[in-house]
Amino acid sequence: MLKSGSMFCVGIAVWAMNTLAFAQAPAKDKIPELASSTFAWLSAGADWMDPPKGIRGPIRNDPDHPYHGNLDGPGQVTLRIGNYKDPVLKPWASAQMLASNEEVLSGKRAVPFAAQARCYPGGVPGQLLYPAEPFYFIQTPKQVWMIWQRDHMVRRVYLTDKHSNNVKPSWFGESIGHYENGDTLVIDTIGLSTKNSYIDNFRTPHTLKLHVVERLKLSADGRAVEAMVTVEDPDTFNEPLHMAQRWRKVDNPLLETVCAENNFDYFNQNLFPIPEAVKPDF
Amino acid sequence: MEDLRVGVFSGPVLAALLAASFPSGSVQGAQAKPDLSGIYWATQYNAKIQIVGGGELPLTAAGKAAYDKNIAGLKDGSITDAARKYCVPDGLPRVLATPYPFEIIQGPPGNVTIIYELNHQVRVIRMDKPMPGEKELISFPFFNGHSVGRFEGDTLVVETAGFNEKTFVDATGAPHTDQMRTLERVRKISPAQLEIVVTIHDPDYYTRDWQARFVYNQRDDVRIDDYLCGDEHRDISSVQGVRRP
Repeated sequence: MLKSGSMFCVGIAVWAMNTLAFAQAPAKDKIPELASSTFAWLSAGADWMDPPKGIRGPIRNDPDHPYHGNLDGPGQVTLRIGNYKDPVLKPWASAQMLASNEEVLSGKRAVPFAAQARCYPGGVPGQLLYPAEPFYFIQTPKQVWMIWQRDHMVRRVYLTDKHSNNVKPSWFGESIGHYENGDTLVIDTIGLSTKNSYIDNFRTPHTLKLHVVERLKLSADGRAVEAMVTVEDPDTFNEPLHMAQRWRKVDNPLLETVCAENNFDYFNQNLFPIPEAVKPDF
Repeated sequence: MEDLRVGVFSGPVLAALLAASFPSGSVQGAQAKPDLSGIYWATQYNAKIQIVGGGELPLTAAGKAAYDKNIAGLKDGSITDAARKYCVPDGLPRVLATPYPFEIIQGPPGNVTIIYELNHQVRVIRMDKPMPGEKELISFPFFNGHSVGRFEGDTLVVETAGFNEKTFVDATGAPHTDQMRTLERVRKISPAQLEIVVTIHDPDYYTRDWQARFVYNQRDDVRIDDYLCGDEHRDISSVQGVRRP
């Protein structure tokens, strides 16, 4: 509360000095401080937020099956039934989502597949939707690591401007990145495998043509990270989708959370099986 | 049990900790931290852990009983090797035997982080911090334990405690208790080779502390791959001693 005119003047002067200092500081080499041994980033939830108005947003629930999540206030949480009728979907993707919905609605599978719950990597960009446990960065001049506490999932971003000539498809694909404006990490990802890989928790599928651009921006006060994500896949979507996610800073050192520990289908819900090696690897 | 937990490594480790805490002004104390960052890959794999100096594991009677039970259980299927079947972390010291590459990152500031391709295991080593207290270690037992570290000259010294009892010492089912403490000495033995010597302290199951040594080639030409249980993974046939079942 500025009660006196003189204090207000001081405030203006400090603001002006700060502005001047910022203006003079070379922003070229500044990068957002995302990595720490003491703090981490906790997501706002397991669903994409909308992009700014007027831009094509994420796939939502089937209007016939309204979705009520944990963050939607009192009331029974419902299962995620994706809007397979969304006109942005190519017919094959729509049909696959319908089949997944019917598997759930018929009761054949009591809980639909969710990567985080069933110990699968979330893929890109789906991994950004891991809620409830924080994720961590490590930043070096040539590389960025994104480490989720939940099942110690790791993404690597190579700070270079060119993808490899031959990218073998994988869960997290090949991510390259760079910093912009001193506050944003821009990540470009291709080479994303398709089996059990979805761009959201409505089980929206994709093809090997998926191309994802994530812009992770540190807020001015350093207390939040916001992502704007663009998803292009001309064999799945009739136009690019734009989605947002947000994390807040939390003071948590990285602990060990092992997804497969005691994670069995105790109540015979025909849960999607967790990853298992039928034959040991070695 | 309680008394065993206190004072582990108290002699040499306490001396080293004191030395680290109160620099004597020696030249060594002023040296820059060694650069251990990079990607490493073993050239040899042994299902049975190889003890420095040779010989068999110095098991106590309780340790021998636990080992026999594990061997029989793994054979008849009554015990699952969860690290291979469900890809939970291998735990120490078994993870040191990994035939897949791993990376050491000297970051974020205050930590050294080791990430293994195998089961995408992540180990956080908190540098120049005390070991968490017994309440935390007992309340939150981890597959890979709780690790603290410090640099001694060219060597990263890592102490780990607070393990669960869901892992084996090696792939044959050699046992450990949740009282196990490990001390790893990690250093470069040539520009392209990393050595880790681990000391195992687990007096309920072992009559004496014993050591195992692992050597890895630095392989910064390799990128760590994603790894999911049951997927087809990279070719590790170049690692001697590996057998695909």
